[in-house]
Amino acid sequence: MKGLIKNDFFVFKRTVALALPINYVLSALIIIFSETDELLYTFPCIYSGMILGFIPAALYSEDKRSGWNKYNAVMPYRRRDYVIVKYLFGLVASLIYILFISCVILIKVNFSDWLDFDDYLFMLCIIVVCCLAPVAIIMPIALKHSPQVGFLAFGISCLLIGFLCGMASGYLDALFEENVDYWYNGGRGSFIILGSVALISVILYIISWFCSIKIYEKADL
Amino acid sequence: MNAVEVNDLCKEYRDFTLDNISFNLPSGCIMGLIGENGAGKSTTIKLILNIIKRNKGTVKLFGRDNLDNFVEIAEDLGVVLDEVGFSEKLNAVQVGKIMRNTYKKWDQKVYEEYLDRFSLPLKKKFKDYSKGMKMKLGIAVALSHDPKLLILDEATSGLDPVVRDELMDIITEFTRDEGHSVLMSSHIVSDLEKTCDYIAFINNGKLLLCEEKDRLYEKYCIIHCTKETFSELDSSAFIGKKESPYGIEAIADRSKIPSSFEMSSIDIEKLFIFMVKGALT
Repeated sequence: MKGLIKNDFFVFKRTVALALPINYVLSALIIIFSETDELLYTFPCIYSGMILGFIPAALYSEDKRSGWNKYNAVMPYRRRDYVIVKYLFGLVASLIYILFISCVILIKVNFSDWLDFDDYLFMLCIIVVCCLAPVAIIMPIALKHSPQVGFLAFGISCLLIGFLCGMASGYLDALFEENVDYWYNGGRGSFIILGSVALISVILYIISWFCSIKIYEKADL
Repeated sequence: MNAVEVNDLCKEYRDFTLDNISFNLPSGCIMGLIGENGAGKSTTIKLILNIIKRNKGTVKLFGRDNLDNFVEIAEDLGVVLDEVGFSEKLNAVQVGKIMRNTYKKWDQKVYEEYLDRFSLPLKKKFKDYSKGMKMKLGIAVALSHDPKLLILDEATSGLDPVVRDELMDIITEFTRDEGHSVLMSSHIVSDLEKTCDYIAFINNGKLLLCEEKDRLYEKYCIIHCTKETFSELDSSAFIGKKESPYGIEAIADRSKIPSSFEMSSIDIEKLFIFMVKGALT
């Protein structure tokens, strides 16, 4: 498995990793200097999370282009090792980013009372969702069909989920107008929803990991 | 002992079927798989290497089923596919580092010797390599962990004659050790004719023939005759013919042709073409 990790590390260094330092710097600057929630949640959480979530599929896409996915299949590796390494890469990159963001927020908290622990938890949930959901959706489909189909499926899923969330929020607003406001303004409502979504993402991610292994073991490369 | 044993191997696609392929490659021998583009050579090799899943049949490498023990078997395999699958961003040094962590028997010194012998630049990116250089790097990797079986799929296609000749020399050198075997596919028949001990013809997903090369030379011959003479001879003696205004050129079984007939020796390319295109109906 070490050879597979090494290969992914070299490829990662030469391709995906180029975008990450910019991402890190921008995220840190936004967290430290931003005074608005929108920017704080959009770039460091959603955008950066998504970028990290695309890492396993991007690595697989590069392998498919070069033929490494076929070539390593004739080496002393089990097919499951190949999938595990891809998921591990995404996971480690996400954990490093979360660690980095946590440090930046810690610095910010020391100098300003604008961010508190609740904000941190809120951001963490968004990052977890954005890091895990793309991998969970894209990878099994990419391994079964192609990375392009995987990315397409993810795009369609986002549109669908966005549409359904919009519908649901409009419906709930109309149905329980004051109660919904109270629920949110009470502070815990959005936490419960986001926490649940994060939990669902984690479960989906684990299921996706097992499905990807099964799919890849049976696939014609 | 056989290095490769293939029995009743089948693979079905929507528009192509590999149909009951069976052959054995004894240890210490070189076998050439010859066939047109799309005949099923690569499919056969991919099935042997477990890159694609078979529908029926068995494949044994060194006496072990390739589905059950592939990780162990792969330690003794050196493989060069038609596309050497390294990322374009890597260089030869990085490839060496990856392989050092892949094969238990990886010999970095041998790898470096091959890089030196092939004059491959160490720091140049794989994407900047020529087709020949890429293939040479693939060969260097395939040979640097002391494999017992070398499998080459269209490794010579797209290479210039000098590089092809060099590659054939390496393969011959490799099989000097009796425990080393080679299975290679190509549609460049002359390459295989030079080096192979066994020849297998694949056409349209079917194995037309699998014989020792010298046995083919002994068994078959070319005869030239008129249409009238041809019709007088035993039709079962012929496996293919070509008609022209000057008469008939046919490939025949020597044992079934009267010794008074003038017979010339065949070459593998001609035999293959006659078998595929000039089959008697």
